[in-house]
Amino acid sequence: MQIMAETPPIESDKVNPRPLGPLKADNDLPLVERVKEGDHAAFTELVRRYEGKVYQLALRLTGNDMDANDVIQDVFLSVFRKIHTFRGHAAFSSWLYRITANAAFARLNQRKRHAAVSLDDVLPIIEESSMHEVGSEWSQKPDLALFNKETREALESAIQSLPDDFKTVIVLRDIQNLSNQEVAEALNLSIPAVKSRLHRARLVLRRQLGEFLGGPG
Amino acid sequence: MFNCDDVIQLLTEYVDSELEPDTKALLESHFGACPACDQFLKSFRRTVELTGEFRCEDIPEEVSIRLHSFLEERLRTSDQEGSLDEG
Repeated sequence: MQIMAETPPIESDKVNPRPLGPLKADNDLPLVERVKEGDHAAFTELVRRYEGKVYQLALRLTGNDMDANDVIQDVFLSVFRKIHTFRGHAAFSSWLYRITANAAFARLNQRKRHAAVSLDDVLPIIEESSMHEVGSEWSQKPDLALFNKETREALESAIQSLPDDFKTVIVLRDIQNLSNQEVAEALNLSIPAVKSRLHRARLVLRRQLGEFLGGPG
Repeated sequence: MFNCDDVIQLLTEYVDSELEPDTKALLESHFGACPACDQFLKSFRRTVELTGEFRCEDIPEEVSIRLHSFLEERLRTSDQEGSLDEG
């Protein structure tokens, strides 16, 4: 699999293409510089620092352990091969997440099995429904929704069903806890675009979780 | 004043504490006056909280072991051959 390290953007920001900025202050840079010099111990440390986050992202995007396992190997192999192309205009983590997302989508394209619905197919239902709906158990007592096995599986399924571009934003923001700025850098989007996708994806998840928990979301 | 449609559009920024104080105050005034929007907010916020629970999941140990073994082999091969395999 060819994975470009200074990767073409996942999604171009048609409204506001992001220019290269000044070099970023980045806690990872000392390690990155050592990796560029061929320091294997530094590379191992970098892997340990990010393996959990990369795996989490790969798993959420591919939807299965096997593909996530292959993706994470491809990603870090690519990082070592292409580290010399990382110039520091974005955070190393942003570069890494972009490689990961591209690798995950490439894997899905190979398998040709992801068929997420369009968000537009789902959201008109949400946006047209009245806010003043009969309260369901979910909306009346949301704190009752525990992160138990069943809820977890329902939410995983809901995340999986999101379109790829929205799924990536949800994973990076709400699971990986990146800031809007960091997500924008990783995905080469404007911050308003990140916020818009995040909001729409959250609305979908809320509704689908509500349906699972019983009653109208 | 905000109507309910305005409120729903601002929920992400409200939950993420990104609103200006004046806007936030207007929203909270609406929540106080509209039980349906208040309920919607609670379930929206709970959705974000539940999604965040996945954050606590770490990489399985066997995946990490396999990853490091894979990379060590590749790095060892690259040292021997002077370049990293395309694989």
